[in-house]
Amino acid sequence: MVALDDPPTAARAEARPVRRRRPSPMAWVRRGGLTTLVFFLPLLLTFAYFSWWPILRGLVLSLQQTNFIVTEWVGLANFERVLADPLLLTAVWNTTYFTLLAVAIGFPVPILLAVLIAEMRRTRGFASVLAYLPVIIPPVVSVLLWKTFYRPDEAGLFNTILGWVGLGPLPWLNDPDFVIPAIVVQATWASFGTAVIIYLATLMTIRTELYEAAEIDGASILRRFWHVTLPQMRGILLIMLLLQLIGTFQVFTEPYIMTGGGPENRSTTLLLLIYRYAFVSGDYGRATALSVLLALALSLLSAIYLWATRRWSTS
Amino acid sequence: MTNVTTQPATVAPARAARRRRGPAEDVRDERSIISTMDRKSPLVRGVVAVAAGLVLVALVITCAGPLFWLFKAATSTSTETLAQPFGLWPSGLHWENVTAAWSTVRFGTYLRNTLIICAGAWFFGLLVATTGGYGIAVLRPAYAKVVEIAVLATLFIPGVVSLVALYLTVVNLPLLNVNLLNTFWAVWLPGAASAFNVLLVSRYFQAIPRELFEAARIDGAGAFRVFWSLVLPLAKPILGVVSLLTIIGAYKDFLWPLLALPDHDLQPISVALPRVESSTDLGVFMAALFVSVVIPVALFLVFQRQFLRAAGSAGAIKG
Amino acid sequence: MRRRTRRAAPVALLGVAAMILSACSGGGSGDDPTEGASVDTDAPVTISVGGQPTTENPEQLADFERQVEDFTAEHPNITVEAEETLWEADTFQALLAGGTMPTVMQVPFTEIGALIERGQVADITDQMGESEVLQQLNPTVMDVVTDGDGRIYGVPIAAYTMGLLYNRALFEQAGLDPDDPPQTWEDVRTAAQAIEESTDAQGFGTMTLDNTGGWILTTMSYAFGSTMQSDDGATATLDNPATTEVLEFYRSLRWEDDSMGANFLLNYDDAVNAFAAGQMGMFVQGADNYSNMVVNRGMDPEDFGVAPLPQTDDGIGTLGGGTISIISPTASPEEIAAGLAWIEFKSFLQYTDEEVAVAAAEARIADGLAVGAPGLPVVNDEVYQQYHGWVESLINVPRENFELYLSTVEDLPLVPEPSVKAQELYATLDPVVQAVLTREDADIEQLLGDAQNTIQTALDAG
Repeated sequence: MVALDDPPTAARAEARPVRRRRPSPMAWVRRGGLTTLVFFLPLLLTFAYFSWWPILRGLVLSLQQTNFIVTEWVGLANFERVLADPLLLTAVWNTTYFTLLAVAIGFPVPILLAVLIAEMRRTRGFASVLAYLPVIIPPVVSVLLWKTFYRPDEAGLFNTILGWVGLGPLPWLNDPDFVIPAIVVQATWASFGTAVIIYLATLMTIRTELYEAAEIDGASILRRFWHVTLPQMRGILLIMLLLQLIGTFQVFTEPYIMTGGGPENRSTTLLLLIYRYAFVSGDYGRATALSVLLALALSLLSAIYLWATRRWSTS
Repeated sequence: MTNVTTQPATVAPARAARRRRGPAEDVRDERSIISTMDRKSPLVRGVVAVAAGLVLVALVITCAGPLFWLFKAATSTSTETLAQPFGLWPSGLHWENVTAAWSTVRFGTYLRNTLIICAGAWFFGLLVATTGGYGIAVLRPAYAKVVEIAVLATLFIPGVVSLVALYLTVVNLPLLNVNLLNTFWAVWLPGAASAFNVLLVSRYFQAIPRELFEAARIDGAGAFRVFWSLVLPLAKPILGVVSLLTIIGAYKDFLWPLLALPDHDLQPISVALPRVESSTDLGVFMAALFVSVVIPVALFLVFQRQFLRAAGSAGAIKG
Repeated sequence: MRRRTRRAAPVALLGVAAMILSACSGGGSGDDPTEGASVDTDAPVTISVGGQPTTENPEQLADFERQVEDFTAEHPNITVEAEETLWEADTFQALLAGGTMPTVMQVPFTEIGALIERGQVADITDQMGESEVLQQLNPTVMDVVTDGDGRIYGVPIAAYTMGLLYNRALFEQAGLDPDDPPQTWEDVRTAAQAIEESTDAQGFGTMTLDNTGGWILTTMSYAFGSTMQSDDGATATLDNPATTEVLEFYRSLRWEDDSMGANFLLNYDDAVNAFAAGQMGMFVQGADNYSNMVVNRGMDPEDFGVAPLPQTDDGIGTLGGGTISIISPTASPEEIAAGLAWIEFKSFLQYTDEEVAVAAAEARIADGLAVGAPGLPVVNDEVYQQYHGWVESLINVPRENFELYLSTVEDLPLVPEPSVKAQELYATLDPVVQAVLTREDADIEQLLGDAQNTIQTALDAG
């Protein structure tokens, strides 16, 4: 897009005779090059230090072993150690299960809610505020609150409710088979509002003529939803699905606070494993190696996803 | 720590939402799937009313309910909360839990730290996004394209690759040999390197008609003048969105401050709360949770339009 | 325009390139302390010392500052920079990475093996020889800081053995005699049932998270008759009958008696707080927890009970642990000598000087801290008896409540923690304990067999 319009500095330079445009630092300063650079400095410095460099360093570190006194290159040994960890498979499975479950609940529910809320006339604003309320709560607070709801004894909130109908008490987070679903419910509660608001914003942009045309063709309300609303939302839905996939794949806070990865590592996610490698065992090489693998997997997933959806939309 | 990747395409709804009305606004003359015609049918009206009612009730119970319970638990004694989780204040309101949160949990310190972190994150986030966006979209030196691509590229790399390396960088800044651990800089600066903010702002700047800049230059305004007196005032809406997202993001962040601020005296509430959980009386702890929630919720209720618009345009990214 | 692009792009990338270079050449050059034969102990030297109490504990902080002042008065050439740095699993490596590890800091017994292995701690053998009292340390605990070649890497400053902590008030409520604590595991089970029945508290408990589950399981295995590792640390032995028995014991309490509460995801703080708050009748923990429970967590001193860890007929003793003062691997010989002088002053002066011993005890009393709380001496018996004689009249804890423990602490053998990869071992055992407590059908043989393989692989990998 730089090529489209001439930048102002270039435009001014172009006006001068070509012969005088010797590349000299003074001329560069006079043309405002220094001022421009000053504007770029905050971005360049913060990105160099806190984004570009750490990405490169992460790649380098995955091939190194360091005790911070001596650093040595170890080739792919870190990757081998990651793959040799029996916990890796557990963590991959837990994370995949978590993600699939989170998407299975967290993807359709906001769509339906947004469509329903969009049909409300007087209460739409109130409903959006309600739906967004959990998103406003800091995740840590929400996790801690739900942790008290999930108390495994009779005093727990959910167990009290179960008690009313003569059930329970259930162990909730203490149940190896239920720990991930329990965390998924909390995580979905905490985040579904965002998707609802985004879908609502998209729904508002659908041109009314489309509905009118469908109506004239005699399409019922459900058919209008199916043939007008959903196709019109397809773009944002596809992006949101990918974002949800990538986001939930990096789940950390919820299992870290609620269960510490237990019971029996049944809620140990990949990020929790990375955290343990790095910040509990001090094994930064292994941690970055796993990070790189995870990043590769996510990039691959995104690439395939984008490729597939593009093919699908063009076919 | 920086919340994961995003797609540049999500900028599109941002624009769409700007053009259109926000969801909370008046919607009288709009139509949706169901037309005014449909609404004349009693059956449709009935079904819609019932569905709407159900959705509202469900939302009240699931979204407002837990917060209300938190308020109840924060103002009840621990024994009451444990014995009757759903009992409504059997022995009256116990505000002393809130005061106890301040004295025994040192909630005030953590709240102050949170505010400092949010303020710094906001300032540096805006500084980088506006100056960088201005450089990329308006000044456009030859290297702007390279920088833009380099910034864009970070969007596609999941934050997790650099988490450990970022930590080691912060612990010992290359070339400067400074350790930022246990300083607020360690939270402010990495947060400011947000590709999403830079791109959001630069796209907005790009949409400003270039004639305005030409006119200003003919009037003799330099790059700083144009930036300060022309671009920034014009960009207020997007700056509002970026501000909100940055501040909310900083308020919510957990893992990064946990790593960057091991000193208890510097930790924000999100890091301190899980740490003090088991050593704090349940009622007092609930009070601490409640206060942590009340502040953002109150701000949200006051500025709902701005919040929902920011969320509608870009919320998917900072979550 | 094209020309300028070519010139500008390298400029933009220059910074990043410079960083790569600096990182590749990075990694400092620590002085090799073993070379320092002649050390000038009078030359000016600055050391940083960790472990300064936080402002949350003003009494302890004041005490600490007083010590720093006295120390520098005695050693005018040494400047002491105190900091609050404490060992924490997740931040320790960062101290090294950032070059901010203090010259002297404390680490738990479990860490020292890995630190020696990774070369992240100074060899202090030569400088140790200079000090008289440091030659008189308890040989059992000195083993922990000595490597196979007899080199010394730290000074143990506090030690404890694991015991059975019990809440005396809950014992009374349950009709048990608090002066006659359980001495067999069958007694423990019966007492747990009684507490479960007649009080609101859970009878027995164990921690399960952040490696504590494995730590306690290891302790219990010692009491039931087996270590988890061969003495040389080459072979894992955690799949053994004793550990199986311990897990069966957990299973009976959890699933037959239901006397272990409902939450089985407890970390150290969760369990310790539950015990101090009277929500847990008994658990296995360091017997030195009196101050932690009473002073830090507000437990009634009269409620705190500690019994020796019950042993089965095959029991081999109780697990011991403690705190070691270590010196930064980048310290110069002069800094090591100064650091050792500080360690000696801070932790051992009371063993050599009656006045200091009494003054320190009095200061502790004035600050509301405990004198004479049960623990394991780090100095040898002779030195300890002398010290005990000096402060006997000042003891302010109800030692009569710990009679059984105190009378047997010397008899019960101290078994150290696994010497190689202890934390990995514990981490692998956490889920085993969690499994038995959360799944009634947990297959103990299978769980232990898998854990055994995991750890053996880790040990083989070196």
